[in-house]
Amino acid sequence: MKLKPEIEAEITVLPNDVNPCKSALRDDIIGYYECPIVLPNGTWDCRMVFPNASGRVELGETATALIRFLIPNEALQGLRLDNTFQLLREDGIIATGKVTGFIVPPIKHVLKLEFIGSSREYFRIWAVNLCLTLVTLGIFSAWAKVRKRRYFYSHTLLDGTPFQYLGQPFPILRGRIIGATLFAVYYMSSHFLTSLLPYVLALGAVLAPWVIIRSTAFKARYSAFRNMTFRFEGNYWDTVKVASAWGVVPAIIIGMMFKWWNITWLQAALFAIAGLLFPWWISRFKSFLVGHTAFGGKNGQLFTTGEEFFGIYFLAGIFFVLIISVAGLSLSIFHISKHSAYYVALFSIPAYVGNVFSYAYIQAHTSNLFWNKATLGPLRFCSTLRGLTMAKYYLTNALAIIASAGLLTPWAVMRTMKYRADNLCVLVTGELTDFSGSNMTLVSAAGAEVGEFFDMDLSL
Amino acid sequence: MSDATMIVEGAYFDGYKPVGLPILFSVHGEESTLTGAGMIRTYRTSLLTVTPRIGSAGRFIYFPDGGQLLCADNQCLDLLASDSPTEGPVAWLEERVGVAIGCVVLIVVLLLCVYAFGLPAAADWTVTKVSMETEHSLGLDALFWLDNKKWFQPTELDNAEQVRISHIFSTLVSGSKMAPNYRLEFRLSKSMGANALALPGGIIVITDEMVSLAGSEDEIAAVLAHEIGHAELRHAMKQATQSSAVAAVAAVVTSDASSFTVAVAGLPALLANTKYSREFETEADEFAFKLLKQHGISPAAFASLMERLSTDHEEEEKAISFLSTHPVTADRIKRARELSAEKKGDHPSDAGTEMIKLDETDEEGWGLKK
Repeated sequence: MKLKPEIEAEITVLPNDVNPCKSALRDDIIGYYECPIVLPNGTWDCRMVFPNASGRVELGETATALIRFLIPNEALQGLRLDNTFQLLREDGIIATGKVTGFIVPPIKHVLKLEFIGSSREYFRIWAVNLCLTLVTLGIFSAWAKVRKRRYFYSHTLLDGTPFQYLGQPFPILRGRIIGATLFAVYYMSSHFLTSLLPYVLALGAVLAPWVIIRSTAFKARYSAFRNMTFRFEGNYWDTVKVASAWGVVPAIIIGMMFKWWNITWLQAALFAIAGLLFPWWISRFKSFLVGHTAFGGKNGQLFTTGEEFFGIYFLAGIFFVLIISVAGLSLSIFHISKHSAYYVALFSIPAYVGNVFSYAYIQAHTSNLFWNKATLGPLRFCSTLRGLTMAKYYLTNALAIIASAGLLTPWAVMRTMKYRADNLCVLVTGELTDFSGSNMTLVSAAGAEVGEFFDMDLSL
Repeated sequence: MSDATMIVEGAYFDGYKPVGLPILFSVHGEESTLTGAGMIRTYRTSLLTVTPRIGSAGRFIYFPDGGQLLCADNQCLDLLASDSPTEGPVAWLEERVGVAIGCVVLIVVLLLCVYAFGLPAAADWTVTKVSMETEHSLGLDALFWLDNKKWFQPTELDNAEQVRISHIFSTLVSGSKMAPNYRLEFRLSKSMGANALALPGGIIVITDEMVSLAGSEDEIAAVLAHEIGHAELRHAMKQATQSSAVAAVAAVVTSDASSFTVAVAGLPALLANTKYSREFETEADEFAFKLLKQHGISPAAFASLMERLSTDHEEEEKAISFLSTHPVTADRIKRARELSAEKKGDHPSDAGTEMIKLDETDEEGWGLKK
């Protein structure tokens, strides 16, 4: 006989529920957390707990029991628990339950991250800035960017204090003008003066690492929390080493320069290699960026592996291919001609939805992976985005934006940001005073003339 | 010391530790004071700056020694100099609902005007600035690209046939100012099938499939006249200009939506471009009808060419006409018939028919079947 599990869906185990292990029986255990469950009376024996730990039930006088899960050492790097357990009573009754949560090492505080932007306020900002950008033929876009960033930052509170955006419109405007010029050069050389293209590509390849460094540094320097700015310090050659993806990126660029693309198999081979290496590359690249980003004298660290990224992309890819093949197959079963307009509609809608789902899955899971494996001084993070929920957000956003001819865009932006902030929390394992600034605000203010270039969004 | 003109409470951050200290800030005319957390500091008010107002968020006061005070937004804070003076007026506008509504109205009017008049006019102007030689060399590049990408194979038409069609072509373009730039290319195309394209600079490509589908010389003339219309009106260049402008405007308008939705951003650009494309087709049709009449050929040849194929597609076409790069075929046929009826009366044709297909010039879309 099976009992309805008393713990039905999801228990988010708050990290401060985690207790350090008092009697360290094993080296690979760092602590345990207890999770209260309600059970019918009787003596219960814990038969099976999730693989990484063992547990037992201590029944008190009441019907509430505590199930104790031991936490393995890997939790130091962030471990998500997603486990079912089974409890057996003397008379053979079985109760099953599920515990989902996230565990990090002994946590002293949890800093609440909240996004308090409102759609009404942001609608006004959006409308005014879009209007002025259009009227000024794009020149105002630098101000619009500053205003929007300022809005996002100052309505994101960590531990009650808003983030600060310190970017100023004029350096951004200058960066955009340079960026637009470079883009125009690229566009002209790729569309009209094709003989120049190899040189432009070579120049672009030489400039790209520098652009990566500058834009990341700009973003870091102009982001501040509690009067302390972030910093990014990467040097050119390190960036080249990481960004070149073990030589694949240079090979692709040289291929574009010398028109290897006319050789089909070579093109296919290069792209296949690039595609396969991508998860490892992205992991290395992000680790590089995080490792060179510092706050208050502490550098970040990222413990992701290529395999973890590969797993996410692979699942999303499989899902997408499945959707497409099912859609294609069912269309061919019903003998809908390829030339028919309905074919396009019937095929593109599932393709779009499949695309949204895999995109949302990738977004949610890479984001979780990134935050859950990142550290910054005494800080750990806990990200709990869900692919399905993200997909729901994306789809409803798209529908709302289309149905309102764009007027609901600010609403879509606000709710998505709120969802993301609600699913990220910041955990402190030491003290905030471990961070120590050197009054960098003054330094950065003096260095403000170092403009941003492409204003590339290398958002992590 | 006079009475304080402003007193605010806030959290003070010294820039050395990310920990806030509760502090009272007061302004007494020329001088300002920070008191609390065991310190009293005095500053010249003129040296202090404050971050611009944004939404309802708290604002930071910057002190010359690098400290910052976070306090709730307060009108009085505007007494201090702004840290970013140019943002002040923007913040003022952002606070007013009326302004926001006005902005939305202005955006809509502006976009509609740009779309209906601005972009076509700008494209016309741009085209006058591009010399025919430049355009011609672009066309050659494009042809080279298409050949390279295996969109085309060498023609299998025999010489006599080529000469015959070239003759029709040169007769049609003989009156044109850009006659020396015209060039007719024959290609076989398995991927495009019966099709004809106008590349930039008067380079016109007709596929073998199109030649064999056309039942009469008049019908071939009709196809060529339509493509000559595109070339003469410089649609390829206009389309390139318009589509890049549309892409730029669409990117600005949808910039906020792009990261939170999937593929919504491309929709307005797609709609705008297909509308322009349909207008070009209609213009080219009108041009072709005139040209055909000048040479004593009835536009009915055009109609008959389009007719048979359209029976397959008519219904669906109407359903998705707003998404189509070409006008509804039935309308095009009707227009051709009307014009032919005007002068010569109906001129029935026994020919096989094929739609005149697309002749886009953006690199992805060249001559793709719809």
